[in-house]
Amino acid sequence: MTTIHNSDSERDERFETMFRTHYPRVYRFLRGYRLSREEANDLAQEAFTRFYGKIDQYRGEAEWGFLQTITRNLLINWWRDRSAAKRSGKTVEIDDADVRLALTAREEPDYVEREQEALRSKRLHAAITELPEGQRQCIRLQLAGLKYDEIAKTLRISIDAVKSRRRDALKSLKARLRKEPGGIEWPDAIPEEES
Amino acid sequence: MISKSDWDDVQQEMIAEDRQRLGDPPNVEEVKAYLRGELSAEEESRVRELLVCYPDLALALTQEFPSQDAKPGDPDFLSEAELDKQWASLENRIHRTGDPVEPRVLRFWHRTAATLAATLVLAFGGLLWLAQSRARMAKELAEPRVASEEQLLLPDGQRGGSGGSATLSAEGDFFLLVVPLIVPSNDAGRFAHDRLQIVDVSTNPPRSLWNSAALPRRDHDTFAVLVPRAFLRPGKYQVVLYGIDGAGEERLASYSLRVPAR
Repeated sequence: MTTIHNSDSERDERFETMFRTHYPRVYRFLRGYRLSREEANDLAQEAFTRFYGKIDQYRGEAEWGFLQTITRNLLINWWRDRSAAKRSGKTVEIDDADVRLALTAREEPDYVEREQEALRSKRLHAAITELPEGQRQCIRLQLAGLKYDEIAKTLRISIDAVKSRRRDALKSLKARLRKEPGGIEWPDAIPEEES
Repeated sequence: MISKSDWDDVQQEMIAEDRQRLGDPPNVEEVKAYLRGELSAEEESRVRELLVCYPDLALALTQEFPSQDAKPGDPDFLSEAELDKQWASLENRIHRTGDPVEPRVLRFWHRTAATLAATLVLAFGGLLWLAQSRARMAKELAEPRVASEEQLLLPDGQRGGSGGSATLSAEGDFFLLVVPLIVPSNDAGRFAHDRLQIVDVSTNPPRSLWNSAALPRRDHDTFAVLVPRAFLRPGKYQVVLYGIDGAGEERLASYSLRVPAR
């Protein structure tokens, strides 16, 4: 049986093994959230530094679980800091994925097209806004790319409830937008048929 | 036709509106409490709305970590050389914080200091709680309050044929117990002061719960005692009246009462 208090060398060996096994996955996870390479490495390093401080308390599968928790928490705080910084207007990062998205120029439509686009957006906005809260939250999270199980966990409801709310929401949206010329092109994130 | 780009535009618009209205994303503690179901209904609803308008945050909470490493050529692939570089950087970082090379003696003192700090926090926390409780109590006592029930108690043995105890109602937070001083006429002028005692007679032996100070006897010979309901748990009690003179005190009467469960 392994004792909780290891020698420093054994501890460091374990830590390096952990690093070599899991660092690429932690880094990949963070990169999945549009963090730059530098930001992802910074957060991953911070996660492993914090993990090192508690390494004696975790073993086996628990190690990986703990490292995931640290990483998620750091990511949440990083976002929080970043949104506060964005709102205070102190920094404008041209490298920021959101900013890049906003700066990407679309082909300029003519006036009539712009007007029609604005009206369509307004009708869609109204249709989504008028959905009951639970249905609206499901649709918006699905639109953001979350899967059923992820929506269920986020809203703290069952997967069946997510599916049922989604079904009702789609029904309401179809009814509400049925007179839309040309119908509705459903986004990839919200297929018309339940997947 | 409502196009895919209309959906994207509306989603971005709604996110911007909600963020403007709701403010910063929740912090880690709030999110953890939310996931554990520990928030009030109002707070829970706020955090849920925030997660909807910060969907990346919701994803960070719920999305599984990748089960495999990226492959060469993927934008998030780390080569062996890059991994070595990160390892070296991490080692420096950890050594800079002094954690791995911290001598055992220092570690002992750090732990002792941490324990001491935790003890002090607990002690100060306790004192703060006590001070706040006292302040709250003082504030409550300084305010008028309404007794939801006035209960006239009759001395035991003088309740006519019923012979039972007075029963307090199950409602209200305070009782006003009215204790008439009905004593034999030969005792009337004998005592300059009286004293009241509340005794829990449900226990064996009966247990004294409260004693008043010496009360000067008044013209109309009635005492009113305001009792918080929380003071009297469901059970049987007696209010006991003592007459006090210079030589000592004498039990003059008892008044039984019953407090029902709510």
